[in-house]
Amino acid sequence: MKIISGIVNLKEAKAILPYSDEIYFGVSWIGNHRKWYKWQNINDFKDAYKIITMCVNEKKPIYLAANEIYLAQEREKIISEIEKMYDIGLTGIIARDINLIYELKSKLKKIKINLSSTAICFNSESVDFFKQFGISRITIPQHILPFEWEKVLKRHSDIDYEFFYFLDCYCPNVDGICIYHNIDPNSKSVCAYPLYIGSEKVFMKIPDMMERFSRIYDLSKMKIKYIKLSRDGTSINKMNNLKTLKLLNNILRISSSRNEYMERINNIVKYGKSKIHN
Amino acid sequence: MEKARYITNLEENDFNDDIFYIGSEFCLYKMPDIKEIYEFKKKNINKKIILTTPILTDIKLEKIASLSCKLIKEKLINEITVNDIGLLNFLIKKIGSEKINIGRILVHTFGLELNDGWVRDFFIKNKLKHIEIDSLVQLSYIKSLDSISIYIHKPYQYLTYTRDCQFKKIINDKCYVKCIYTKVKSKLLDDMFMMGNSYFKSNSTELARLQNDPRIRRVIFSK
Repeated sequence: MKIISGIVNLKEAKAILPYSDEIYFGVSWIGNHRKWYKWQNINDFKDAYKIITMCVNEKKPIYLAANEIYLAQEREKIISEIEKMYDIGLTGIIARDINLIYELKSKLKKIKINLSSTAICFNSESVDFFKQFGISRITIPQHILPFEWEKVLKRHSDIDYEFFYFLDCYCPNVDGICIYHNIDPNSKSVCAYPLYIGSEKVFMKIPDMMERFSRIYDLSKMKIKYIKLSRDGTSINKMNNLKTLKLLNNILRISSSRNEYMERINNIVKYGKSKIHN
Repeated sequence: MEKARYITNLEENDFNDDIFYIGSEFCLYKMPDIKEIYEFKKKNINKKIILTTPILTDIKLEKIASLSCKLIKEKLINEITVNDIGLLNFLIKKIGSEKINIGRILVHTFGLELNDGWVRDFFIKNKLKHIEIDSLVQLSYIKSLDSISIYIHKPYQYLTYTRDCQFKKIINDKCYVKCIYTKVKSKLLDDMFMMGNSYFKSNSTELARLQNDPRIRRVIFSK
């Protein structure tokens, strides 16, 4: 699988690019799905320029996250900002806003559009709907089970797909229509807060680690081309995740069956010296 | 103003309402089959029945899409509430838009896009005129759509939902666990409510302002 890495600054881009096939980033002047954390966006156009140029020189694709829904009066400015980056060499954008995608594609016919997982594209009819806007890739929503995506791949083999590195990035609720994560303006971690049913403390659950490992196996065997590391975490976390991903890619390559893959993962998680997940 | 009731258990039909919402907004494994709907219709012959549908994956899309068309054509249901873009795309082509309600989850999916541009034109061109909402924020999403009917959910507004339902037990593509309905408190909200795989909060404080909108035609009461 090809590796896509989310980066948050120039220094990180320099460190991560050699180990990634593609990178993506957000900028503070275009709202995106990391509005909670200022540090997860690049704040200076000069840095964005340098990062894009670096990718152009390395012949690696680079995408901008513009994956929120925008007001009509914001769109014109956003499109002009994207145009500026496209002129430098930006490959495309990660987006969900149909109005933005439609208007941007009308201006820049060759810009690539990667449909964000927040667009709530859950089935082959939805893909059919979004394809009319010229999307070239879809980020598979985290809550889709691999077998639920098989028909999409058969019916829409003319576009590419990517999925998140679930070990590090998994929302307990369906992302893109989650109102709950905006409840606390100071934190995106509300879904980690305990809930109380009477006096009983409960948590919003996510699938356990082994289940998430198995989903990676299934999606890779379905020949999904790209796996994506999010922008969250420190640069050290990201480098560790890249190492883990390299190891995972090797395990995927040498395992002759799902059972063998799961057994190898199990052994590493239980006994291995290498930390499979931080 | 029409009054409707959203019922999740088709065997419970001792309500006096004239309009019933059946089906599920949040779980594709909780959708009734044609037999259950037929039985329900037999018991509620003169009532208006609306089938609510959730976000769908391909596991159920074809089945629910063809079930919806059949139920509409045979007049076993009067309307269908759609929460999935793909199902909307399919049904517009197959049955037109007259019987389609845009569900509150689909309203969140489009969000502010509904107010202008391609999405607003799409709604107008396809005569998508019946829209369900549950909050003031959703009202702001549809402020530029004039000739529509708004249906309000009461007494809860949607917060979030998961497809990794910790309670599910699926046999033959159906979940056989009764969804848990319970009050939930969190650090920030003390009026949350959990229904199976979804979370809500009370919308009672917003209802008064919501109900002032002249486009409102129906109130949908949930348990």
